[in-house]
Amino acid sequence: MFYQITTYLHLLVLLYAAAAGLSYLILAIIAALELNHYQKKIRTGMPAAGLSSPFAPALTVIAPAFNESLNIIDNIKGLLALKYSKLSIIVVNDGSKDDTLSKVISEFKMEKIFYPFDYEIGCQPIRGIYKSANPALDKLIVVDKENGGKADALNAGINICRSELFMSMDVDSLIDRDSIIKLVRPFLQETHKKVIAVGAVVRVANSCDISGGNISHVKVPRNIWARFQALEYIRAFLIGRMAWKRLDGLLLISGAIGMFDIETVKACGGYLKKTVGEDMELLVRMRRYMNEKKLPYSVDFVPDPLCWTEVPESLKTLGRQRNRWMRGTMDTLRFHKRMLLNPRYKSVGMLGYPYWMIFEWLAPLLEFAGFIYFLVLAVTGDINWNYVIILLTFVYMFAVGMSTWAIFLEAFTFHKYDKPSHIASFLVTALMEPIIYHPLTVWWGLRGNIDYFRGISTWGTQERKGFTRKKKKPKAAV
Amino acid sequence: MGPGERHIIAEGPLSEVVPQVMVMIFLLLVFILSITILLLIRQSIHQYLTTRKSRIKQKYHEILIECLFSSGEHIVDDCKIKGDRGKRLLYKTMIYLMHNLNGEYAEKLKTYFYEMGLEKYLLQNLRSKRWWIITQGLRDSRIMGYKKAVTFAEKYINAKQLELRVEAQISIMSMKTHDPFEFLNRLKRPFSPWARIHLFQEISFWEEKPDASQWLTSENPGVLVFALRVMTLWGQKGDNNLVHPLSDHPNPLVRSELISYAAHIKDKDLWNKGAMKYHSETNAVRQTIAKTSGMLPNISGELLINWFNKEQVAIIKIELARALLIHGQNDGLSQAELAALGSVA
Repeated sequence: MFYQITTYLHLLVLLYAAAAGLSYLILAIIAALELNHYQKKIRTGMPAAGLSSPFAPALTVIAPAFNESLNIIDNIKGLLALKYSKLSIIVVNDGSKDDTLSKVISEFKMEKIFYPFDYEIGCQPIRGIYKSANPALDKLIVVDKENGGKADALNAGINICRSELFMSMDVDSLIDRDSIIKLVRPFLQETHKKVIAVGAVVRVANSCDISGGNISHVKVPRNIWARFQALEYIRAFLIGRMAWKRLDGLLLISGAIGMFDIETVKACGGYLKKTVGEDMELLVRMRRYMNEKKLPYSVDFVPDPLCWTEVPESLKTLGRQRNRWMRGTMDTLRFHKRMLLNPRYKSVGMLGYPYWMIFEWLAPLLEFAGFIYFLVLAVTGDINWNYVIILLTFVYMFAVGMSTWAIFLEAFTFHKYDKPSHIASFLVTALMEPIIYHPLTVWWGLRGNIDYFRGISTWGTQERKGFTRKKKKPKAAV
Repeated sequence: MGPGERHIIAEGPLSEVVPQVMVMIFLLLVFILSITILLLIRQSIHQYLTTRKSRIKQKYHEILIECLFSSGEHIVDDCKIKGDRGKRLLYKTMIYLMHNLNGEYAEKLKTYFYEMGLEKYLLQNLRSKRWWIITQGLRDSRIMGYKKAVTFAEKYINAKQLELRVEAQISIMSMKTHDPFEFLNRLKRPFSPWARIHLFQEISFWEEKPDASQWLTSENPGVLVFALRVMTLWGQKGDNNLVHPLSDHPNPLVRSELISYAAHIKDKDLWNKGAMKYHSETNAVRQTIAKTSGMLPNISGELLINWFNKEQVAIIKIELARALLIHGQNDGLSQAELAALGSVA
């Protein structure tokens, strides 16, 4: 009986490895094709024509801020430098306990104004809306509200918005000055399908040189954990997101940068406050809504690195972040479980959802179970070392191969890491990643599963160094 | 199943798998090495070619500039063009220069371009099977005023690739070989904002502005929105027989644009026709009606007050209140409320 079980488990492991390998391979090929297509597309047209055209849509950038006193002024100045004429910037002070609001008010000479709006989407009460007395800062609006978390702050911003599109972002991320015109382009190019959301690539800003609120010199992070994440981001965004965009099964647009059609977001009820994965949940809900209403739509993705973010450099903070991401994924998959293998939801239900379920949610569980199974076999002396060695070598080889492919794609497309030492550094990181970093992500994923079933739904304490200051800055949970 | 049959993968001494593992590791190393070498080679070749190209382009650039400011009789000799590659670079340099020139110098450069027979590269691009090359060919033809490109452009006005069809549409329009806007009636695909932006950018440079009302015969809602917006921006008044029926158009974007147009050209009848239907309109159209209600004189106070009392959306209500204020219908409002309305964002 035991041997029969082990045979079936062998088969299961093989089947999982084969399915994972095959799907990653297919995604890698599709991503390369899509990137190639994008490279040709951006050579055409005059994107700058859209910057000030009377036909360009109005757009609002919503930046939620909570206890951002250290960097808020620099961050707002960075946003004010974004290139687009019909632009409004809404900074939502989410009940900060520090002097975030007073700093903004005094720096930009803000005054409380009467600004009519409706609570179309539920959010905590708004205490006041501020605009600057300086006409040059007319596009800046500061919203002060009771604390309610990031999703709640974004919902407040959406309620204030008077544009057709909005861009959500993290106020502590660095946004490329040309990012808006690149993100708006898919909305302008919509045909019979309505473009409901557009995402972009997020890159790691740790160790990069920053001047004037922008990345002036791209560098590979010095910290090993940040470097692992930098490689992971390149792989996830250039292969995963790009390929899923082509397959029309994209389920996630990063909370750090994303542009949305405001009408659809409002119709869906805005960001969900009871989840820690509000970015993924919103997109899945929007797709579900459009499918259920039988409205033709599309979700686009721009592979340009338009957003640079600071990633955790300590294992503790990184673990907490991954734990949260896992709980967010599980929340979204649970809320929208009826989409699973449901042809009504087209490629999202038939491809995107099952993929996320197996390779994002269940992968850490399966991999951990495989590890336990391996230990059991080792203890009982039933291990087939030939099998183990071949499988592990193959998996290692495949993982390194995928990372190398991602580095290759980056170098041949956007080429942000332009020195041979950068490539060498990433290749060495790729060799180490499956042995050092991947087991940790499995562990954090497992902890996320456990915490989810224990009912933990907090964000956890985040810790950032900040781009301009190198002192550790504690950030309380939102 | 006996104990001897339980493993599905080859079982034997460990040494048996060592060669297989070694092969896999070797393959991995080969893969990584190949990628690394490829990237390094690419980087050095890229760097070398870029430097070389920019050096040659700079040379051509300087010669061309010199020729433009002199008689420039022997430009071909000066440029020392030996092969196809050199001519192609000269072609690219000329296109680049044309972006920054106009008037007499642009015409002079065009003359050199045709004298040197560089239009063959335009034709090559236009005859390409790759959409992005054709797109570039159309754009360059437009810059160089290569009228033969219109025949190619005609084929692509309904192309699947948006970038290609927009470029084709701009080419037809800008080269004016025949009615430059006739193609608008032949559009089978949606006329996207991307196309509107590009077409408007092109026509905004024209000294003689086209009559946008002629596009109102189109059935394409995108074209209608485009026409109405252009008419609004340039203050053009269209034929009532064409304009007025649009107030019953099924597309709310067209109705919203029509209201805005009516307010801007002060066509009160047309505006009233749309405004009377406010209760059955979408939020966006209602907002446009409310926003423009202060732009026309003698708007029915009854209409505004009735609507104001029924309206649920705050921003529309504020617009209506503002219009009431403009039309002097501020009975019952306190001084504080009036002051607040006056300063409303």
